[in-house]
Amino acid sequence: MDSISDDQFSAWARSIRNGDEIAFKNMFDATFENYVRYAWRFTKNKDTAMDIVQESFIKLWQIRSNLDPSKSLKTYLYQIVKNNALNYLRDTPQDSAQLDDLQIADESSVVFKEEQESELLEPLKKWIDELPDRQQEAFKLSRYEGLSHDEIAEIMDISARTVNNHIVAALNNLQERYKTYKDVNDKHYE
Amino acid sequence: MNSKNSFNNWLAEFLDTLDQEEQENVEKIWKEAKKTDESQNVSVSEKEKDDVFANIASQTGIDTEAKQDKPQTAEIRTLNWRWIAAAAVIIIAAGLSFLTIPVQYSASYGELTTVTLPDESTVTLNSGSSITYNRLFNFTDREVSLEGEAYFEVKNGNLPFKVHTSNAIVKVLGTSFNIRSWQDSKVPETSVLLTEGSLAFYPTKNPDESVILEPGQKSILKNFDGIPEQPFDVSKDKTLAWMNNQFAFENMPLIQIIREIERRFDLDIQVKPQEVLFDTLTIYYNQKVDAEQIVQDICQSKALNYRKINGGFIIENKR
Repeated sequence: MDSISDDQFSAWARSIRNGDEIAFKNMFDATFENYVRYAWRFTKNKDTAMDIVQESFIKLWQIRSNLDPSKSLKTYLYQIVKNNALNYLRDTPQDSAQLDDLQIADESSVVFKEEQESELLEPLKKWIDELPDRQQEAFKLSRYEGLSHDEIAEIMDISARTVNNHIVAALNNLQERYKTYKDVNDKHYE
Repeated sequence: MNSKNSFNNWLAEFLDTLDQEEQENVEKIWKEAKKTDESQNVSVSEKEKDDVFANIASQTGIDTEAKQDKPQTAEIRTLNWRWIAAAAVIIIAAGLSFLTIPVQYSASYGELTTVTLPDESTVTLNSGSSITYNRLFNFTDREVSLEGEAYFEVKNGNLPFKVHTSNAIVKVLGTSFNIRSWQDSKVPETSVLLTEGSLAFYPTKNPDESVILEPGQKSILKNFDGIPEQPFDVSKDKTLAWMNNQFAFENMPLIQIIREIERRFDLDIQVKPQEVLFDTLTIYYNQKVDAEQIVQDICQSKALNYRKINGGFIIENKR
């Protein structure tokens, strides 16, 4: 979604506000998969992620005439998807939720891992998942979604300064753990 | 672009506060962290997308399909103006709102469609392209909006004929030309090739930056605030190859070539190695070619593998 310019989003926002169904469809086509991936991070299940994004687009269309032209449509939809995903997690007992088994999700990810030959990925993933909630959210929005601090600030409803603090804290945190990890590994080989 | 800059600034600022070892650690973590994003393994097929949009449409009353499938103005052009004036009165009485519903035609994936406009101009739409115009076309104006690629043969008329794309306007009096303006490129982009007559091509935002094309010339406009390239001579056959079911692209990003194959052959193609998507490629087939042949040739030139799946292909790295 990095490839979609801010101008494109504001052009869509203007058209959608005026009830332009084609612009709405175009935006849906261009962004659906990206928002499904974002929702998937909450549910770990593709079908529920698609349902959540479907509901989010319906909501967007219903409130189209109230769209705030000064706000980014991109982050606004992130907010809607996030709220819907959190509601879903709240209302669904997690032991009954179906999770995608990504280990065998598809063979190409296996190829991916072989080629990477980085042993860091697994521990790093674990460390990221163990970051404090707000740090983790800001860090993932920045690194996974490629969003700017200002955009993250809108989604998390905090200031851009605080976003920066969270991400810097997260990087410090990860860096510390990496240092320890390296030390332990080095000893191991001595 | 803004966000990218400020984003690098904060990282650079932060790195400055660290000693060298810490800097290396952080840079490595920053780089590797991207790869821990498991959601990148989740992909949505065109079919799944269509199904979800159908659900959205049925719950919101959106109806893009009906507008595409029923060309409701098809008969109007055979009537004379008195009839239309009379009809207009009735329409106004029945409700002005009807006039505000635009007319839309599109070509489905796998098909080319030729549409005759109310002024007898014709438009040939490449697969997956659509044009929209208002119901007073040929009365108040001759303006159409294009998403995708189309070849226009415009009849002479009193009203200027204008084509709007996401970022540009092409204005003519009577002429034949090809416009390409898909929304899948990195930045909004419109390219125009003129085959007969003359035309003016300018950014929607900046009508003063106009270029005039001569037959056989092409110009490209990128971005919303760019200016059109100086017109240059090109091979008409290659630009119009799509009209004969041929396939020709010069220095085109792979992602756009893949999208074109998907539209032209109504297929779903997944490209796993993201890093090749914006590599450019030149391919030209001067005869009818099937999708697999094109995919195979692309893979060969980029040292990739492909495999067939139901309704499409998956392109991936070689093992």
